[in-house]
Amino acid sequence: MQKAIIWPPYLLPILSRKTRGRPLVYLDSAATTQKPYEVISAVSDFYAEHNANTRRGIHELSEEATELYEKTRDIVKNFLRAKHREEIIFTSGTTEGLNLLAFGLAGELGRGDEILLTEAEHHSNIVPWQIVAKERHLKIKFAPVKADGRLDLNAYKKLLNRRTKIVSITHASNVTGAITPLDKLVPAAHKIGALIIVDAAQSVAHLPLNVQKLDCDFLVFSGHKLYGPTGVGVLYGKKRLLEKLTPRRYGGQMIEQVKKNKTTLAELPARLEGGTMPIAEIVGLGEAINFLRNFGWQKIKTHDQGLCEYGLKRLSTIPDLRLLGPTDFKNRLPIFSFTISGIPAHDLATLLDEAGIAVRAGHHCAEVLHTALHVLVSARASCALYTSRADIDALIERLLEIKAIFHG
Amino acid sequence: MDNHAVYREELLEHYRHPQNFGRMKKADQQAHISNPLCGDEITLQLKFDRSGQVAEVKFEGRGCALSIAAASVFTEFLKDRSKKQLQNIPNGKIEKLLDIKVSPARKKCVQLPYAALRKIFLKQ
Ligand SMILES: Cc1ncc(COP(=O)(O)O)c(C=O)c1O
Repeated sequence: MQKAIIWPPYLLPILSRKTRGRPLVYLDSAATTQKPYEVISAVSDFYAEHNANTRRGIHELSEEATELYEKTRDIVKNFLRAKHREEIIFTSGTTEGLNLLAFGLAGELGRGDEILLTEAEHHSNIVPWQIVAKERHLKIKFAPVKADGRLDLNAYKKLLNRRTKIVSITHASNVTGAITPLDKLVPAAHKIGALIIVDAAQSVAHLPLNVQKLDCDFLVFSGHKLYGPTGVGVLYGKKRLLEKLTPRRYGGQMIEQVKKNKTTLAELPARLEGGTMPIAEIVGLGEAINFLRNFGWQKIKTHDQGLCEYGLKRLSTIPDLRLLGPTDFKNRLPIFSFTISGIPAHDLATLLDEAGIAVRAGHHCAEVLHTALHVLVSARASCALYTSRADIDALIERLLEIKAIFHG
Repeated sequence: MDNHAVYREELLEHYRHPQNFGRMKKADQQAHISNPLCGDEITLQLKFDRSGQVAEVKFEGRGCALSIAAASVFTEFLKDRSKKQLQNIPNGKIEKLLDIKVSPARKKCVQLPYAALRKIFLKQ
């Protein structure tokens, strides 16, 4: 059996608090992770000691802020194993990254071109494409998932064709936890000449990413699902592709020169980072990545697999519970979405909350996936590095109580 | 756990056996309303007698226990009331009828039947 990761309370301050008068059992990490003390203090230290706008001032504070900001770019570059530091663009999160890509690539797309998504996508990887598709007369296709939530690879390959210009796909589902076999999807997309975008929002805190080995064209994630602050994210793109990407935010340091009738834009990465950026949060993100790397991927993998195995085993003992997603613990993240017949998901979540257990209820911004799995909504318990077997035990015990309450 | 104040047995009984659940063939007024976030939806139907009082009320739909129990007690409450009385029902009435306090995220569930009633009067 794996050794549990021990968390001294000061390392994750919020986990020592109570909710609804009960010790907090936080099982909503797929929505956002809690923040370790290092990250919180990196953000407050920035404000207390280095705060200034970046790249603009001649003064020492501005130099320090710029240095911390650019140092984070190097941290991210190494974290993703990118080739060039200018391939790392800071955004406000996954949603902004995907919007920037959809609208920034739109100019190169025309009538009849196809965008291939999957049924497992988050709304932020569907809706921007729908808007762009309408404007440019494109066609959107969805590669289907199988009954266990895993992508139907054969169907995916069949949907690829000469008209497919962009494939945009999640690396791991925020509902089923299923991990997408990118090593198979990327070459297939490239073979027909399509660009491939990876939504790594869920996977980034759980799986090592190597963008050069993956050979994806773009990859996006959010800092807040990676133990970092909200309001910050990353867009990775191959340099030659980012150079062609149309910016979405004009102004500030992304400008090189402005005349009354003409403006020239700055080089990458500034070109895609208009306006004052969330500097403190970006510094916090760098700290979050350092925090994660200090664990090492092997430890993270063992921890996650242990939770998957344990969670699946315990959940399978609850009568009338239907798990959405793969029931084998391999190639999945410790995200457990489920329904219990006769107990609506929102009531489950409220009754869990009354016991201090935080889960999410709804379609988790993945309505297409819920429809494909023939459910309206589900409850979701999701784990992170600070999640323990005791948290899962608390969930199971309370679910059994809820069943007793409901069925009277 | 003793603290399931919201989910009292009485409320759950309304969920298991809702009052006025079903559909009438010829309603005078009806409205359908949904809360796509939760997947709750209901159709509220009203029939009035000659004096303008509610003679029959039905609801149909699906949703969480809170929204179904809310519709059950609310439709009971609507019976025999005049149109004018219906228009003057304050927001928050259902929480009073159920005698519960719900978290902000669940307010919409409880207020769904009330929203359906408002929709009927907006249409007129
Ligand atoms: C798979 C996936 N994509 C995109 C997003 C959107 O992330 P954000 O809200 O941080 O922009 C999420 C977060 O819920 C997600 O899980």
